[in-house]
Formats: sequence, structure tokens, C-alpha cells
Amino acid sequence: MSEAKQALHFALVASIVFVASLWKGSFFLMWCGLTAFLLLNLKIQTSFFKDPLYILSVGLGLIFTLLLVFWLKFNVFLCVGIIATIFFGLLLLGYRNSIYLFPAYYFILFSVSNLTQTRSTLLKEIPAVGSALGIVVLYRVLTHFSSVASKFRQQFKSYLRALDDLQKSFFQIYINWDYLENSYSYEKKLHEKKLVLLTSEYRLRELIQHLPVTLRSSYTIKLESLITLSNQVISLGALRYRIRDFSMLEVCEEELKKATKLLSNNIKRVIKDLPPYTEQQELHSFDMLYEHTLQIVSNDPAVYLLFIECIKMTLSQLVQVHSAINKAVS
Amino acid sequence: MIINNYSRRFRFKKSSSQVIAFLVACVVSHFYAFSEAFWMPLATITVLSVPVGAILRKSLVRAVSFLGLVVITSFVFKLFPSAWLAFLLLLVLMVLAFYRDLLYLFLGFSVVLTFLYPLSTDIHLYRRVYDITLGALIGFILFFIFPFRPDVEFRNRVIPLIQVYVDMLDYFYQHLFNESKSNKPDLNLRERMADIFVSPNYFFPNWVYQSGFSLTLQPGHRHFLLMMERLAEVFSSLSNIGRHNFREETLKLMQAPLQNYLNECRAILRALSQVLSLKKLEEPVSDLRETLIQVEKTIYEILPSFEVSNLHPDFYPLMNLLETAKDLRITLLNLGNALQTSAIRHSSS
Repeated sequence: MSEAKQALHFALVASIVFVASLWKGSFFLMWCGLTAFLLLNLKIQTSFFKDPLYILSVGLGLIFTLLLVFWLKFNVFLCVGIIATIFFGLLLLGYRNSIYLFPAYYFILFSVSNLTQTRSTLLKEIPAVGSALGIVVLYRVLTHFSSVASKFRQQFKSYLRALDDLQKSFFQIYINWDYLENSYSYEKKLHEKKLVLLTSEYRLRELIQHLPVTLRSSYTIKLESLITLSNQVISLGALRYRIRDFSMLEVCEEELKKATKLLSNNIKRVIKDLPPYTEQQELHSFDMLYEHTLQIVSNDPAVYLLFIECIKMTLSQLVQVHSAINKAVS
Repeated sequence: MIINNYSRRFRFKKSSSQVIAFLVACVVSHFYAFSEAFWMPLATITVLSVPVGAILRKSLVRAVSFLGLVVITSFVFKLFPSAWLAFLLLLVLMVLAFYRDLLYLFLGFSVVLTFLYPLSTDIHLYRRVYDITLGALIGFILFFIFPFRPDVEFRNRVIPLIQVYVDMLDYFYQHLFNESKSNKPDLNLRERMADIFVSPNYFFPNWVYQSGFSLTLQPGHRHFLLMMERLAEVFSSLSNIGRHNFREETLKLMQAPLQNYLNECRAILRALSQVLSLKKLEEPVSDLRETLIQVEKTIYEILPSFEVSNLHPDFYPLMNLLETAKDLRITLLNLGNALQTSAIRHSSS
């Protein structure tokens, strides 16, 4: 989900909490707001049913924490001992699977901050936390209510956007020619783009697991075509460690810019459910440049030839992806 | 097995260090806190909740940020006890917590607490500063008592990925020469690779790239990781080459030299795994030069003349295979060099 979109979710929930707290006072506002934002910070799961259930269980856990601390307060050392034991268990779970890590810290934050609470503050806090829980669960159900097929389409579009970002990053290296001087900073950016791509792929796979068995094979075919496309795009990056003289790329700067634009436009067309262009006029000039210049002046012409072929294969794979996606949907 | 055992040990150590620090902070707070009882444990937990590898620098940043925000918000809420302002600040910090760091979560919490527990006197602020400083100090002391070895953790997290790469080599060979092959990528292997890189239980040590990671270890570890990622790219290319339907004559000619080459690549990967596991190498490994020359020779026998070779139906996949084989050699040799020059090989468990 984009940063702006998530910030909007936070702002909307904040408005609901604010309105709900108008007649309840600042104490209610702060605890309700805090709990609501903590619950919104829990990373979204992929299942429609698991997501609100996960938030509900964490929210109920927080209410239980308030009660636990209140009941055990009579003996500070016993209270702290039990809190520490529960925290330890949650941390062990959290370092095994990171979806439990945030709830572990929520638990300790709530318990520590309520060590000095009184009965009257408890009676004000529980309704605030409970209201926040209700607001966030309802909000998540209403805003994320969509079929798995629809979620798959959204995730598939995210995947293609990630591929587009990755291919642009590769071409940026070729157009700027300073890869050898700044290899680390380029590789760091590429690493981040690849992580986004793999995360998207991971989510697609999880979504397929939640589909009915009868639909899984057709969606798996879609995923396979996407992975083949991603392998093709990743192969575009091979040129950066095959060539030694980046100044040769100055010769084909215009062609590189046209190629990346062509790839980007075609990917965007597939995202919009339009068929990609089959005409590859922009690559014709690249072919001619290779025939007349690169083949003669470069030390290893084969790498440039393979690079051009890789671009063509990527474009043809985009056509396959488009037909695979539409076939599965119908 | 090594990974699972170490991972359990790592989880246990990291969890127990935080819990022990929390207990110590609670006990100290009970006897020596001058302000509210929760500041000291909160500061300790804030300082300790850092990822592996960038511990001291990040913890210092957390401690200073936590203290700074508490001081500023205590002043502000004393002068302007506005719930709207506190709520707005909380909103901003929580949005940042979603995208950036766990630190903003603790900062958001501190905003709520400074608003709900306003300063009663000026000296109250100094008492808070004292409690938070003491809490942070407890956290730092625990780092020295329970030190983490990012180099050891790094080694053990990279080994599963090497195993995936060995399996990918095997899959590529079987897929290429299998009569009943399909055109599909191996989702299982891809899934294993993606699991290591990005799943909630991920092993891949991305924290090497973070600022604050040990300056002594960072160059070698970073270079090693870059080469590991480059290997993943090489295997993506191999996966695509394997999808092509080569002619039978081509496959017959390629089988022996390619098998020799891939066997030696597999041996290098296994050797890397052994070195990272701090075991002795069972047998020497080659530099892949001779077997690569054989592969190249065979390909040029199949494609006799470069100028007219593009008429051959297997021309592009064969040239791609040759270049990818060269990339594989260079990357594997770079991995070996990274082991020699970095601190990875020389650190003991």
C-alpha cells in the first residue's frame, strides 16, 4: 500500500476517534487514539477473515493486560514477574514470526504505563481501548472488504509496478554510466526494489493459498507467467556486471532511453488491462546501432546483442502475462 | 539443523536480554525512581529494541530521541495543555512508526504519557530526565553483558541461501536435459528463495546495509551479500535459459561439459557453506577456468561462425548460456574472495 494511502487511513481513523471522543474528554481521546493507531500499525494480513481477527485478538489482549496489571498491583514484584514472563514468551514468538513482535511491544508498553493506574483510571481506560478496537475492526472490515480475486488483481498490479521500478533502475545505471564509481549506492537501491518485488510475490503466493482449491491452478498459472516475466526483467540487469567500459553506453544513450520508456509504457498498459504494443519500432534503431557500431567497436559485442534480445523477450513475455491474466479472470 | 538451533539460541538470547533488562529497570525504578514509575523501564525497552548489528549507534539515537521528546513535550504540555496538539503529534508519530522504525511507537507512547501526566513542578522535569537516563544506562549495560555477534549471526543466515542455490543448479541441469520437461519455473525453489529474503521468518541479514552497522565488518559483509544477490540474478537468467526447447543435437553435445561445469560450481557453493560453518574443506575446489573453456569450446563448435550464427535456432539461448556461465564463475570467485578478505571466515563461534 502506498505511503499516502496508508496515511489517509490513519487520518480517517483519527477523525472517527476524534468525533467519538468529543464528549468524553481528553483522557478518552488520548487512550482511544493511541490504541487505534497501535492497531492500525499491525501489518495487514492477506486474508479477509484473518485480518480483523488478528486485530481483535490483539485488542482484547490489550484489555486483558490492563485488567491483569490492575489485579496484580497489590504485589509489585509478582506483577512485574508475570509481566516479564508473558513479555518473554511474546518476544520468543515475535522473533520467530514478526507478526507477533509488535503485539509483544504493545503488551509491555501498556503494562508498564499502567503500573500506577487506579481503579478510576482503569474504568476510563477500558472503554477507550474497547472503543478504539471496535472502530479499527469495523474500519478494516469496511475498507478491505473485497474478494480474494480482487485482492489478487490489486497485488498483481503492485507486482507489475515493482517490475517497472526495477527495470527503470537498471536502465538508470546504463544511462548514467557511473556505476563503477558508485556501485554500492546503486546496488543498495536495486536491493530495495528487489525486496519490494519479492514481497509482492510472497503476498501473491499467500493469496493463492487462500483461494478455493478449484481456482488455485488457474491462479498459479498467472503467477508462473509473472515469475517468468520477472526473471526476464532481472536478466536486463546482467549488462552492468558484464561490461567493463561504461563509456560505450554513451553511444546508445538515446536507444536505452527509448527502450526503458517502451517497457514502462507496456507494463502500464498491462496494469490497466490493455494489451501491450506488439510493434517494436523503438528497438529497430537499437538493432541498427548494434549492426553498424557496437558490433565493431565494442570488446564483447555478444553482451549487447543479448541485452537487446532480452528487451525483446521481456516485451513478448508481457503479452503472455496479459493473456494469462485475462484468461484466468474469465 | 545448524540454522534452526542457532536461530532458537539467538531468539532466546535476544528475548532474555530484553526481559532481564526490563526486570532490572523495574526493580531499580521501584527503589530509586524520582518521577513516575514507568519512565525507567520504558527507556530501557526503547534502547534495547534495536535490530541486530547496528546496536550501539541506533540505541544511542533512540535514547537521545526518547529523552529529547519527553523533555520538549513536557514543557509544551505544561504551557499549552492541549489535547488536540498531543493527538496530532501522536498521529504523526504513529504514521512514521508504520513506515520507518519501532522507535516512533515508543515516542508516540511517551507523548501520551507526558500529556496525561503533566509536570507538577520544574524539578519534576529533572527527575524525569534522571529516570530516563538511568533506564537508558541499564539498557546499554545489558548490551555489554549480552553481546551479540553480528558476524556469527550473518554466517548462519547466509548458509540456507547457499543451499537453495545448490538446489537451483541441480534443478537447472535436470530441467534442461529432462525429456519430459515443462516450460514452467520451479515455484518451489523460487518460494524458498523468496522466503529467505522477505518472509516474516526471514533469515536474510538485511541489517548489514543499515547505517550504524559495524564499520569493521560492513565492507566485507556487504560485498558478500551483494555477490549472493548477484547469484540470485544469475539463477534467474539460468531459469529462463532452461525454458528454451533446445535441439536434441545441441543438448547431446552440451551435456558432458555443462555437467562438469555445474558440478564444479556446486562444489564451490558447498565449500562456501563449509567455510561459513567453520568446517575444514573436504577437497580442494577449482577456479572453473578449464571447465568453462570446455563449455565455450563446445558452444563455438555448435555455432561455428558468429556472423551467420544468428540463423541457428539455439543461437541466443546458447550465447546467453555462455555469458551466464561466465557470470556464474566470476560471482562464485568473488564470493570466495569476499570470504578471504572479510572478517567472516576468521571469527570464531
